[in-house]
Amino acid sequence: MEATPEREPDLIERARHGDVSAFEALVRAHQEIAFRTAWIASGGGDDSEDAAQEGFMKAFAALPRFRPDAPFRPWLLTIVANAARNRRRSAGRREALALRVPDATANDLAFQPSPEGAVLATESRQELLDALRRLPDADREVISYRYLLELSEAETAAALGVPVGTAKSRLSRALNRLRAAMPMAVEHR
Amino acid sequence: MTGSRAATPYDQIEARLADLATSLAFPPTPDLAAAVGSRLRPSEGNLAARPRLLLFPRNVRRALLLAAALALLIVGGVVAVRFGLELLSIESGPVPTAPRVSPSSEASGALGAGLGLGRPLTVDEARAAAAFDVLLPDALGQPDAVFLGNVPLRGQVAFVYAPRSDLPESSLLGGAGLLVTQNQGEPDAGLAHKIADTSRATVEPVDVDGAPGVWISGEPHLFWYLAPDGAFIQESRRLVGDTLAWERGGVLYRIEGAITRSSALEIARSMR
Repeated sequence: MEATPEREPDLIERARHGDVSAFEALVRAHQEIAFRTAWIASGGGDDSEDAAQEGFMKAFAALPRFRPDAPFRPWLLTIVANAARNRRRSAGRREALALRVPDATANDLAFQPSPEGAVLATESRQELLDALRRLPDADREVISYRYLLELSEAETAAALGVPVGTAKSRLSRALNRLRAAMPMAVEHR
Repeated sequence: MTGSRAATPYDQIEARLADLATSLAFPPTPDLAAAVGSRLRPSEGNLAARPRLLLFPRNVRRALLLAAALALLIVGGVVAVRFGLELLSIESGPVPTAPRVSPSSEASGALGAGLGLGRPLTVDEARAAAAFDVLLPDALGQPDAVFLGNVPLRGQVAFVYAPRSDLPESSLLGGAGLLVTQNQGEPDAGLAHKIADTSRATVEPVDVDGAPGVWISGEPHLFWYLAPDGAFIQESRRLVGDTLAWERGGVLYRIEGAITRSSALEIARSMR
């Protein structure tokens, strides 16, 4: 989240009264997580950008009904994910999750003690990614929110549009299926 | 193999997922702030460029809205109420200054022309063009001017009445005596939104022959429309005076003018 010169509650209050600049600042602060949430919720649909944008527009309209003492991000993600899911059925091109091209300067070298280790790590990640792709959409969605986007439990539940308890049990079952989807149980390296 | 899998601790999978998160190539995040900002600041007359309408499942939200229609939401000292209305939300709070549309009948010379109500036409033309049954207030007779607006998106029909003995001139209506509007709405986004300073304006629920309504009087309040996609239609923002609003059959009706509550109700009940 980018730093904003104004406190979020102040921006929300101004945006509630139609201040577009204040809302733009809110969008800027949350656009990355919102876009990625929309991307996951739409199943990698090629209109994730439209979905995220639509979510923000709906959030602006709904701001008068937002409780200022509630956390803003889960509320926003609920709206964005809902907008994205509505597009899922008609989504055109789909894009699957992919690994970044390895970056020698990245700090993830901590996971790669040696060139051989780096290769193994990449293989291990690809294997996990392949297993994720084999999961049902609902399983992949909950795992992606919680671990790949690193949403909190409450935010994961919000993005799914379900109570926290439901999200937790859904996540637990999804992890079980992910383990089962792995070609072999993977020992600690 | 099964036994080996069962022995795999959750935390190993979780650790591997956390590691995977550091290595993923998400699509680059677009500049949504700029895109949303430009949609919320439509330039005058670019309604045609407004993003296309999207189809949303409305039945669930409609049911929720109905259930919550009479709910009172206390929002950090600001109160937003629905008064049983699906198409209009009213918020209590300070009324921002500088309304987008200010009456200027003098500039155009035509009754109601400065109110941003759309293009002038006849009652019959409005009835033919509207997607809903346009009603006429029997108590007032034929309007002196009729407009068809393209906001909100299903269209608004507006009747403007010139000042007369029973309809005092209203400065907020650019010198007109009364404004009657009707729109078919989109409940999930809320068709219309008002902000009234309830320390100086009175907001009270009313019944219009069984239809839910609200009477707002006293200090002028702020009004604007929301598009079905949730966008505020900024150019519809307007400071308005005493208003009776009610809903029937998915249509929101509003009567604005310098008239009493009982007069407004009498006019409302004569809509045929």
